Amino acid sequence: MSQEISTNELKWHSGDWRKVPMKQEPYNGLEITGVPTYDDEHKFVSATITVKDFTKAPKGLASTMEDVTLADEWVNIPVPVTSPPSDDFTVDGAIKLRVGSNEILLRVKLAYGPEKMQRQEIGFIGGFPSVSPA
Amino acid sequence: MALSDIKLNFINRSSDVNNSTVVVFQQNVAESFGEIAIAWKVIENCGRLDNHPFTYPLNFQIAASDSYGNYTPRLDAVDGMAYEMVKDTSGDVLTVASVPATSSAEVEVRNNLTQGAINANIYRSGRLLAAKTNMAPGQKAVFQFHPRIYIGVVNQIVESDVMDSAVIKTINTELNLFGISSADIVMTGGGPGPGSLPFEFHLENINTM
Repeated sequence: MSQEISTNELKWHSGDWRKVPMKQEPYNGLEITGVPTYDDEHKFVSATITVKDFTKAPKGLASTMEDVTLADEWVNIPVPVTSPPSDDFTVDGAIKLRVGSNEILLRVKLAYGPEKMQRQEIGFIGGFPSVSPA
Repeated sequence: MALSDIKLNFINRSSDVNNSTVVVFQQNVAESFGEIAIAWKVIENCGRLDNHPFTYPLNFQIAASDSYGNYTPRLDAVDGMAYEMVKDTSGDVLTVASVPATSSAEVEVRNNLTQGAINANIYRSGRLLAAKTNMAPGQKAVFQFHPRIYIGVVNQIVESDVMDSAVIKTINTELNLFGISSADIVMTGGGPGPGSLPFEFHLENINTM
């Protein structure tokens, strides 16, 4: 089965996102992007989800989950491996996909941010078309 | 109820012993984050295992008041529309502007009076959601909301209260409502004494659109 990369990408920012980043921690909030893949019949197969945390990293620190499917299971957001190791990635949580009426919905439950100012994100942050219009 | 309304049901499954008040609000994303917000929905006296249903409509109403203390009727508003306060033969009135909002995701209220400041208010479900005050002639208010609400426990607050940044910082749970038609918002945590846990919120019984 060949898969096509779609342009139906999802990009979401947390509510504390600033167009102009702060000059100290927390530099900014979270950015979550999703890139879906579709099969030959243009039906949704999976998505690659990237969670980018700007709390302690001005340029962001990204954790990527590839080939997330509609398995109805929470996928833990892994801590990215960096060299040298750092604790700059503050996100703790999981994502999963769910079928909606017209699209595939991306659900999150996660916490992030400075230790004393942790923020929680819950719910559905966006969707991908079930069938690629392309 | 319009088809686009989201039905939410707050359920108190906490161990709270302080009769805490829960506030729900939204951020106007056209303004800087965290600076000011309005207490849109306040849930009081909701005891342990009680629930409190409420509705989150996707549309708004807007209104304005002028420097003479006159308040306009509330007008239905949708994203992309613009309104202007003008003086006609009857006095100051709020009307639909001929030029739409700059962005299709925003609602604008313009002060097109020749003199006198106005306040612009935007309402959801009949309750004040956001406001822009003291707009001089030529200025405009821009309102934009993502489908997300903030929820937290705050004492001594009533609906329509202005919450400053210090209060907003204490509310750190963001519920994303994209694609949801109904859901339960469950509060847990709390409790007496040193073993008290932080209040937490999560979604249950979610139905999607």
